[in-house]
Amino acid sequence: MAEQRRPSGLRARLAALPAWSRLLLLAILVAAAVVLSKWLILLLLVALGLWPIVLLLGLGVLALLSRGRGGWPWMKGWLRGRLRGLTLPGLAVLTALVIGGIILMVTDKAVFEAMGEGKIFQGLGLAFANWGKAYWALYEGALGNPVRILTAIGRAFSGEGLQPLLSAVRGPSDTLVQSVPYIFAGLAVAIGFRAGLFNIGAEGQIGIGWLAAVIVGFSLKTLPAYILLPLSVLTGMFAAGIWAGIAGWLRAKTGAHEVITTIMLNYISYRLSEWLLCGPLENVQGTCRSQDIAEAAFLPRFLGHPVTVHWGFILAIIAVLLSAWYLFKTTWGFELRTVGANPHAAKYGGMNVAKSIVLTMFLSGCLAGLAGVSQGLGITHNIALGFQAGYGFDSIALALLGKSNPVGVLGASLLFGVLRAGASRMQSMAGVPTEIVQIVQSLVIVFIAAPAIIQSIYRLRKLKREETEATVVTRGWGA
Amino acid sequence: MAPILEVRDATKRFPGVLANDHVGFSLDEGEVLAFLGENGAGKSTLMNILYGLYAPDEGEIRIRGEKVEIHDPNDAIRHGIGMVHQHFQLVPVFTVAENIVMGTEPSRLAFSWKALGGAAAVAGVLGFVGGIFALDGVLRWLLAGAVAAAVVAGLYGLVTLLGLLSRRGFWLYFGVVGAACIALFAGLALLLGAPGRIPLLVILALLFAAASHPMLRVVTTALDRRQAVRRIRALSDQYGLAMEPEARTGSLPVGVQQRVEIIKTLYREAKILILDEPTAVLTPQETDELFAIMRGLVRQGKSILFISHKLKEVMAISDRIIVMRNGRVVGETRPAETSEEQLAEMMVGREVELVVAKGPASPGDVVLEVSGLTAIDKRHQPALRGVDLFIRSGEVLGVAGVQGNGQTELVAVLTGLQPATGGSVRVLGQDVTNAHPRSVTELGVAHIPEDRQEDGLVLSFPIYDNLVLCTYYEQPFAKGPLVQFDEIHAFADRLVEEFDVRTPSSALPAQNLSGGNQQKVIVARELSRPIKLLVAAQPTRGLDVGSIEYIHRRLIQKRDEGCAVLLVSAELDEIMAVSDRISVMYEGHIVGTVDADKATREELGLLMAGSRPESKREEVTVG
Amino acid sequence: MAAKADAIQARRATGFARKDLLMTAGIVVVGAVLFFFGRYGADPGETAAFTDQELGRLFSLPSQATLYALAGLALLFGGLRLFRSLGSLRSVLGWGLAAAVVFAFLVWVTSGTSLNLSGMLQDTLKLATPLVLGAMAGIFCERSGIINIAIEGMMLTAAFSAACFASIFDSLWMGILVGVISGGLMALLHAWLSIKYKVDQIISGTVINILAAGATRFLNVRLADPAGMSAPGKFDPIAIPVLSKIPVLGPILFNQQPTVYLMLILLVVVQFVIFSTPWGLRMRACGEHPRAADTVGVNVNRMRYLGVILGGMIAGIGGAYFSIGEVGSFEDGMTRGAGFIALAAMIFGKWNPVGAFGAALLFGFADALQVKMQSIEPLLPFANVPIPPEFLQMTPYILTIFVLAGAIGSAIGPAAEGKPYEKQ
Repeated sequence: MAEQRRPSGLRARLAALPAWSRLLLLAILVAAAVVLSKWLILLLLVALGLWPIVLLLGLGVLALLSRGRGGWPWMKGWLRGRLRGLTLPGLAVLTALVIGGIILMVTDKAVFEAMGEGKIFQGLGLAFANWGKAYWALYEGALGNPVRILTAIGRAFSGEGLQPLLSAVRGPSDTLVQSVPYIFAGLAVAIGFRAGLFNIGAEGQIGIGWLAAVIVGFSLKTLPAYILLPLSVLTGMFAAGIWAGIAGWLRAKTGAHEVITTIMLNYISYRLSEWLLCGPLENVQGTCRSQDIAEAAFLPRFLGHPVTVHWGFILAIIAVLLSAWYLFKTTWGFELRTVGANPHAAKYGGMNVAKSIVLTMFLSGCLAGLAGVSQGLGITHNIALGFQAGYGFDSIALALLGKSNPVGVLGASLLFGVLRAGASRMQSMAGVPTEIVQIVQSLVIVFIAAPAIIQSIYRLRKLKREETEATVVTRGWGA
Repeated sequence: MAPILEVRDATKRFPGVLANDHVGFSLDEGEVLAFLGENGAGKSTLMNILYGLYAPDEGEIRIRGEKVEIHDPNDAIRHGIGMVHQHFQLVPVFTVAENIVMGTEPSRLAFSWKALGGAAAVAGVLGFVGGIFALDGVLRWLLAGAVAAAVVAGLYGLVTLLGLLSRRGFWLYFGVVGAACIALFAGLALLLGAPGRIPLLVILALLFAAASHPMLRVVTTALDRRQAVRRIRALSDQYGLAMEPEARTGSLPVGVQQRVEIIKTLYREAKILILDEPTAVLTPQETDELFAIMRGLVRQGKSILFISHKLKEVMAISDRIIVMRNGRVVGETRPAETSEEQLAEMMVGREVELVVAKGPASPGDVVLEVSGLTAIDKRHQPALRGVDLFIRSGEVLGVAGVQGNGQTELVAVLTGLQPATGGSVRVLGQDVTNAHPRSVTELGVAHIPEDRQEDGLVLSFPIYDNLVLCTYYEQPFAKGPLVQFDEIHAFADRLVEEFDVRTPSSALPAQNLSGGNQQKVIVARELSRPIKLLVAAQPTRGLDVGSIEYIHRRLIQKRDEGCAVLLVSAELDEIMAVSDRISVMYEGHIVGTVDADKATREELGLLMAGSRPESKREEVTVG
Repeated sequence: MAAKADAIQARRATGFARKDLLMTAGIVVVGAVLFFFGRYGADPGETAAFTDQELGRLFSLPSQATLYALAGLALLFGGLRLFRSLGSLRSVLGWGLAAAVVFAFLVWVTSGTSLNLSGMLQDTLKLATPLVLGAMAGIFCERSGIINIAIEGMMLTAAFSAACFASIFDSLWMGILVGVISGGLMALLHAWLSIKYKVDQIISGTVINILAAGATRFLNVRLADPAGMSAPGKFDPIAIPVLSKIPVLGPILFNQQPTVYLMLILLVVVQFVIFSTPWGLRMRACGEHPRAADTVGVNVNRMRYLGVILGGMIAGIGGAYFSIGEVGSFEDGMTRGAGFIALAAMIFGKWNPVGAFGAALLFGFADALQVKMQSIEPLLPFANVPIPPEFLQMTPYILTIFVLAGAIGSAIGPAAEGKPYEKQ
């Protein structure tokens, strides 16, 4: 269960209030957030784009706070404590990016040609230039151009409206949008890991969720938004949950390892969607795409084009909070984690291991399904063949990076969102295939899973990988 | 005469522990030298050093006066040291012969006339049949058959020849095969009109020759099972250790498996045998048989290092005794010059109460009643074949017996962890046969499991989580689904103090604790509930004397508070010391129940081995 | 362990497990379905004709009567199988039941038309080849103690590099060689991560799969395709003279691609090596009880490295089959889950090469049948609608799930697999 935290001043004062006034405070805050959501999101996007400024501001706030608590040593200690757990992931990502860059340089045709003609320095120069171009495209596609953002803010204040600003923060917007399915899928896998289950079927579950939500979305066009939208979301969620639950049930009843069954279910879901989308559900001959959903089923967007951030993002944040609460503050979560850590002891403690397995896979599937739901109802508004974009395998990397902790998964998802958003721009601007991101991701997994490699590269002391944040303990096929 | 084995200043450090501290001893030829010490004294570490499984940090080993270096078991074996491990190092799915010869397998060329003839015959027939459909004329068909048979026979012969060649050494093989391949590839290249490929083909040919050497060697070397079996039977006759070489090791009884371990060392011509806690899994009668075997081995010129923590045995079989404590040698003596009490004192470092102080029991109503209980084990074999027993409140029933006679399944069925296939279990009058473990727990039954790390604790969780493993869902630890952390922390702190669990904080993971403290956590958890029945399975296995004393005291304390206690243990001394009544399990039955103060070791030993003692048994009835 | 123990927990005092009752229900359903297909799927006069490419018509059966008969046979086998006292006969009955169902399905599909039986069997062996190779790769790894779910990634890598280097060297045989090497290299990575760094073996396997998928696609788009390097063409079947003319058997066994012949040879060799040589004995010990092997002087980790790398090399041949054996070029993700189906075959075959061969044949047959059905297009009874091809393509995957669910309960793998070995 979560560690005891010493209540800070603010916390203590909040805890001292009676329950009803706390709820009232919460309700007021939520209402305010909803009303101001547009501006809050815009602020978030700008903050992402101008992250160096935000970082400096944060350090400044920290310095102010440290005045009362011991000054510079306190600040150093606070930072070190908070950031210690980030050394390994941070170095892993950095090293992976560097290696990715090397691969880019090595596979650059232009560089080959230059080298082939004997122009070594020119070739090297070209290599680094292209690398720089590619990685700048990556950065800009993900976080935008800070200068452009600042100018756009200026223009907004001088009466030109929001449009230049919206265009300027397109990068951060794409990042947030891309991170939404990652958050859901990463949570799905992380919850599985916590229970000792390896859900590789996120890909297929995303598809099922997407499919179900979109089908409901265009089938029940007459329903009003406040019914249709939740209905679509829930249908997508539960359909995917049941899809994953099949694998869970098989694991619980027959011991069939969920790695293989979920992968098989993935392929089955691909074929199923192929049939549906190029057959009964096809809207226009030859497109293998369904009809669009009713507007009432759209996940509303906050701002206008080209900022596509939608309510799915809020759902994702809520999912993170709910997952953390479920895992660490409830008896159900305790049971889940015990089954993952030691199923024998769980049984001894009176827990129903089979039920936990099935329930966990169901929840995991629900979360993965939400990834598909958010894409289908928030971005594409229909479903077309080829919607799979490899989220399933990436989510494993996310769960590992985030140490199977919901908040960690959130951070990792934002990172991967950055990579994804940047990669598509990198492809259009610098002609680099987006698969480079997959290579970087697998390298990240390798470095996280085998910390000794980073250790020896950077000659660090032993990196403590908390065993308590479980990576799956493999148990063989039937056992 | 120089001692056959001499060890000086052997030292081994593990993180946080000095397992062996400048240990020295000598072993004479034909001697049985016993190493006595409690769990964790360093005896096994020392033996592992001798056998090459650990590298000593300091110290030297001398065999017949000559200094030797032992880096791995192969070295140890070469110097004539063999080891019979406490936990058998036998592969259950292998046959006895396979287990014995593994590592020094007799092998022969994988060639058999039968195989050659069979393959050629099949090829011939196929060729003939094919000819019928492809060619005209019976002669042609026969020719086709003959060609096919010849090709197959030729290939088989070629592979065999290459295999023979590969045994002659790498360079000879490489030279011959490399040259042949180069010639072949180059010839093909020229034939097919591609002379430019030749350099590449030369490289490939050489690579192929190099790589195919080890592969061919492996593929053409067959395990010579017949020779293995022959040698094993010879050894088995020579030393009087009866066994069946073709039997599957996993299905053999424990005593026979131990004999396989012994033959393993004799097969490798060991002169010095190390027996590590060999009697842990034997009945008293089987122990006597083992001692007879040991004396036989000594008569045939072997020297034996005998590791044990059991005082009686050490006194019975050894010529000399070395006592170890905390990694050091603290005493050396002979059985004639010492007593069990003296040895115990040397082992522990202080006076030891060999018998637990307990008053008489005052049993009350029947708490647990088991009748006709049947169940199967993990391999679907019957484990319980109709068990009847009862326990009253305020008494301790000890279930004695060698491991593997159904005790594990009995405990599992009683606590709801395994279903019964027949019979009934009643706790306080309620039928709990096949009930869910939680309902059994809620009735007031506590369970100290046999395997504390696998069943009793979640090692990666904090101690406070482990302390509420069975009760986390109840008030006050949870309100509905919400966990009440403050209550849990307070509870944990209280228990850690009350049960003297040595840990700086209850938030540390359980794996940081020593074995004894881990067991204390489990005991604390189980005894802190209001319970009517306590089921303790091997509660003191692997613990030091201090922890053992503590747990025995707690068990008696619970008994005196009116709880019924079921103690299942393979340590006869423990059963006899703690129980009020003793039942003996053998092959899934209770074969006898006696009052503890009237029981003798001999009587119990006979029961444990399945025979009924001649003396009268008290018929204990449910009153 | 938890799952199996819970399955045992479902047994009741009568001795009949809940699993048995489920099986009975299942068998009754199967029999009923067969009967249903016989009644409504075939007209009384129809025959199912089976042909061979050399001999022409082999035999034909009256569809409806055959289906009824097979339904009865299935019920008989299934029912008899319930009696535990029959011991090892039960598995024979199980196979008989499976065979009856399969044959019935075949008859229904062919009813009213003809089916080139020997051609289909030829395709069965061909399609089973990568599965057998993948299963053998898995057997080498797992028997030495390392769980390997990266067979898919190893195959994909091999498929890509085989295609590339076959183009570069303008020789398909070079392609196979390179495929073997690249499979071995990926396996080396898996072994290095699992053994040296003790990374959880399923995670390390997944990493290989992700890396393979990403790297092959990346390199294909970036380098190979633009250079025209990834379409070297494919092997033609090599017909062994005379022998390939034998009716039925000939085309199946003696008119196949080189990869199929390689597979058959390896099958015999691997079976022998694992079970009859000292090296194989030591390898198996490393997977069952590594400490026991260590105490007799076997270098457990070195043996595991060898097992994994050899496995990877065999998987490499399997991967090469896809690009230069079946299609003639490299396509993204062309292995389509074969690596995982191979794992199911391995488990079903109880970690034996010959057993896995049998299981792979089953999968291969399903695949071959599915392809045939797309051209025959049998109509579903009542609905009179052809089964959509996508559903047919699902069959291998559904079959895998069923096999896994049924086989796992009774299949026990090497006891020490999955746990890194620590020399203390």
